Formats: sequence, structure tokens, C-alpha cells
Amino acid sequence: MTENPRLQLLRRARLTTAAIAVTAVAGTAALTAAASNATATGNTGTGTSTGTGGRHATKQQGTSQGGTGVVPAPATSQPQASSNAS
Amino acid sequence: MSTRTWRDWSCTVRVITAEEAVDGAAAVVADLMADVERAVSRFRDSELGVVNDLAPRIVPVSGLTLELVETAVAAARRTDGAVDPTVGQHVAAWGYDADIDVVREQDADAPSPRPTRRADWRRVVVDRDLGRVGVARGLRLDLGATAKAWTADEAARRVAARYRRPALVEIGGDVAVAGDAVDPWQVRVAEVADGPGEVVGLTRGGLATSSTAARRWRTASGEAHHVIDPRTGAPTDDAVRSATVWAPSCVEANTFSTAALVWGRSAAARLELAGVAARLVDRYGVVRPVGPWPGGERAA
Repeated sequence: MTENPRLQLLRRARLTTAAIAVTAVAGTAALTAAASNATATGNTGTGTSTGTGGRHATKQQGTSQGGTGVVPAPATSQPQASSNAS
Repeated sequence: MSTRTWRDWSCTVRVITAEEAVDGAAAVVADLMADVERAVSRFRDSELGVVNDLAPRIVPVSGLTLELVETAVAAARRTDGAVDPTVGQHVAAWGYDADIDVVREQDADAPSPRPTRRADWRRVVVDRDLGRVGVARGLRLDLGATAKAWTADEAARRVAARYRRPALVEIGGDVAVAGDAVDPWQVRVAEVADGPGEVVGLTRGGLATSSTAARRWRTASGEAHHVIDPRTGAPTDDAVRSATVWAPSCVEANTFSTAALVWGRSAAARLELAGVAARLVDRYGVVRPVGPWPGGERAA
């Protein structure tokens, strides 16, 4: 039995509309991801800018990310150097 | 492990290299100290003395002097002016115009002229392109808060690089380490040498201690010390009498240990914001750890 040409046309139109909707959602997601990457790259660029201010920013990041470099000493440890006012 | 200790700049200098002894590590440190003295000494002929004497002219200087002045200005910027390199005329006006041993022997009753211009680090000109430095008329540069620490950092870096092993350099209580040591360096922290203190492990960066308990002398108006509050032009008020700071470099450590004495009661909060570890001693001798400094509050 042959499908009514009008119904066939309507079904094809629905399929096309669904395909367009899926493509639009996927494209939006891709654009959002690209924009996020671009923002991150921009921040990195700011952090490595030349000049005194830029260097300080980098050092401060190092302080917070790298943790401290002073730790408890063993109770029996013998000092090798001294930090005191002179 | 190899250790060499000697006296210079009126303080103890020490260089330690890990693994077997090496010849020449002490010479690396001594040569750098001599270069820094020629560049920025306040008590002997130096390029910085020429800059001060010719103010407000902008004077050609060596790359080393330029670097040291830039470091001092950066410290001022980072501490909102608490560590100000233009306090030179105030330090001298309070009587600290020679080596500390000479100052202590001077006549305490001799009146000193008071400087008329307030310290202002923003009036320092550093022209890196043309290699020139200048300061406004009426101000004098004093790099005491940063030059010694910079030297410790640079000396440790040079020794570690030349001999390919971890190194520690201590100059007058400013301690810098370089290279990846297997075990933490054991450093005794105290207000003054031979005073009460504690031992901590140092894995990287630097430790510096500033205190009003050392470098004191008599004046006509009572005792003075060498840490000047740039806002008042007078010695700090002792709300924090000593501060030891750990930071990723000795320059940063000394910048914040000096600033802590100027900041006084707000020092702990400001140091927390800066992300450094510190050991503060208040005027009553109570030790207060700040940030990740090991240990709790106790008596000095």
C-alpha cells in the first residue's frame, strides 16, 4: 500500500526538524567548551605577563599552590644554621 | 656535608653544601658579597651612595645595583609601603650612620638633625632601559631590608648551580637554600643569637628574622633600634618585637619579617593574607605561629 504523499512529506519534515534541533544543541555545547578554553588561556597569559607586577603574581601563586617549606624538626635534630636578628 | 663560617657585614656568614666537601663555595659567597657592597653599601663608597648624593638626578648604575633597587621597590609595593627603601635619611638621623659597633660607641647626647621629608618609595625612579636610578631630593635609599636577603638567595643559587648539589647560605640570620636536599635543613630560629628559640626543618625557599632586640643603641631621647616605621620616621613601637618568616625566597621572607614589625598588631592578619608562614614574638615575649608555621602559641 502506498503512503499518502502528504503524510510522507509531513513525516520527512518532522525528521528534518528533529535533526536540526540535535545539531543545534551539539553546536551550542561545542561553542561553550571552546569559549571556556579561550577564557582559561587568557588567564594564563595574564599570569605570565612581563613586568614587576607579573612576577609578583607568579610568586604569590607559588606560595599558595606549593605549600610551605618549613616543617617540624625531629626532637633530637642538631641545627645546621640559624635565623635570628644580628 | 661541608660547612664554612666567617664574619662579614658585622654578622655571621655560613655556607653549607650537601654531600662531600667542595672547595670554592665560600669564595662564591664572599665574591658576591663584595660585589653587593660595592653596589649598595650605605657605609662605604658605593653606587647607591652616589645616587643618594646626587639626588634628584637620575644616575647610570650597574646591572647589580639596578636589580637591588628594583627588588627594594618591589618589596615596598608588595607591603603597601611598610618596607620602604627611602627611609635612609631617617635611619641616619636616628644615629645609625655607620657600622653598628661604631654607632654603639658614639656620643649618645649628640643631637641629630631630623629629616624634613617623609619617606616615599614612589619617588624612586628605576630606568631599566637606560640603566639609571634616581631618588627625589631630600630622600636617601637604604636597601638594608632586602639586599642581604637577595644576596643569600643569589649565593645559594650560584653555589648549588656551580657544584650541582644542594646548598644553604646564611648571612646574618637570613637563610636561603637551593637544590633538592634529601632531608630538610635544620635551622635554629630565635630572636637573637644564643637566645631562646626552636629548631625547624627548611625544605626550600628562605627564612628571615627581623627583631628590634638587636642593633639597638643609645640616643639623647632614649634607646633606638634600626627598624623605622616609614609613616612616622621613628623606630617601630615593639607591638611585634621579632618576626621570623618563611617564604619561597629569602627576599620575600625578609620583606615580610620587616613589614611585620611595622604592621604591629595587624601583622598576623596581613601575613596570613600573604600566604607565608611566620613566628611572631610580641612585646611580652609570647610566641604566636602564623599560617602553617609548626607548633602552637607559647612563651619565647
